[in-house]
Amino acid sequence: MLEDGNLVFAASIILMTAATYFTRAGGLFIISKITPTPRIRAFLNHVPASILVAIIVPNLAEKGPAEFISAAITAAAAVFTRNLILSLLTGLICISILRAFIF
Amino acid sequence: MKTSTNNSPGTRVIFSGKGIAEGFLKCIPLGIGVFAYGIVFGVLAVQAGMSPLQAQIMSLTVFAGASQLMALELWDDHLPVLALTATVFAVNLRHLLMGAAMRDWLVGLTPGKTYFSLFFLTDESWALSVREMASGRKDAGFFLGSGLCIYIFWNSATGLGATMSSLVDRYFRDPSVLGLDFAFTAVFLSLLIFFWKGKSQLPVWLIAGIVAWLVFLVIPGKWYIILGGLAGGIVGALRNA
Repeated sequence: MLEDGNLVFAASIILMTAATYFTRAGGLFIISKITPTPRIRAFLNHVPASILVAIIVPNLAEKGPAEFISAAITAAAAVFTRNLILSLLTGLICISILRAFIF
Repeated sequence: MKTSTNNSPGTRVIFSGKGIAEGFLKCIPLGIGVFAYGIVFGVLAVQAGMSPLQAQIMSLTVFAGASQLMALELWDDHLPVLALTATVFAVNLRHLLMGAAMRDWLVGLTPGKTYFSLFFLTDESWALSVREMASGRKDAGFFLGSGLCIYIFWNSATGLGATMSSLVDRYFRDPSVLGLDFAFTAVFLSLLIFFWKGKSQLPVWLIAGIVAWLVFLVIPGKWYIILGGLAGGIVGALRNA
């Protein structure tokens, strides 16, 4: 019984690993096989920022004022410092203070 | 055709140890955020019925935070192998688009370096790397280094959470303590700001955000990321071509 369980576990792990690796490697594999037209280039150039927007918007939309204000201050810190660590720290300090004392 | 391995104009892309080290170091703040979620995964995995060893094996091989947490929802005495695989696949589909966007760095390398590095692709290391790529860095080692950083933090946290699950559970199970749940939003938002080049990007970002939000409201899972990213890319392609 235990051996059966281990076998099923191993099969699950192998299939899940194959699934995640396929998604990681597949996009580049496809794009490396084609010669990009200017339109495909423009598409790829706009994908990174679009993905970032797509990650941020729904995550913020379901949050409250503490997160909105912290996000605004983080963005301002990023504009002025152009430094990832500084803006991240600003955001964390901001959210901690707002959650602890205000919201 | 022979000389077309390097498609971007300018300097050739290299893959150096220095680049790997820089990617690793720059990714440490993100690694700390990942660490918090790795602990949560380790704790929950043991509670879902995995042994600490099994949880560790999963983090070493599958190596996908959101997918692994979703897999726990399906974890059972009789493992639904196909449902697990399909879930993990659907949750990770966004990485197809992220991998394709690494084209300028990865297409010119040897397949070994390219496809080894891609094993370590995560949202966090990708976001950091794609920003470095856009700002003109020509060392693709950065991508592997940042991925390795996330790998080490995720796996050590899984081990810690799983082996000390009852102890850890008592003191730390919620990343919102210390504001760590906000860390990723702060990082992605800052990287997005660094992508800002001018008002011409606004329509692209607006459409990406609207589509992502609508999809998020309607379709469960991570589809909002890939569909929002696709929508923005398509708008950009139509406007620039």
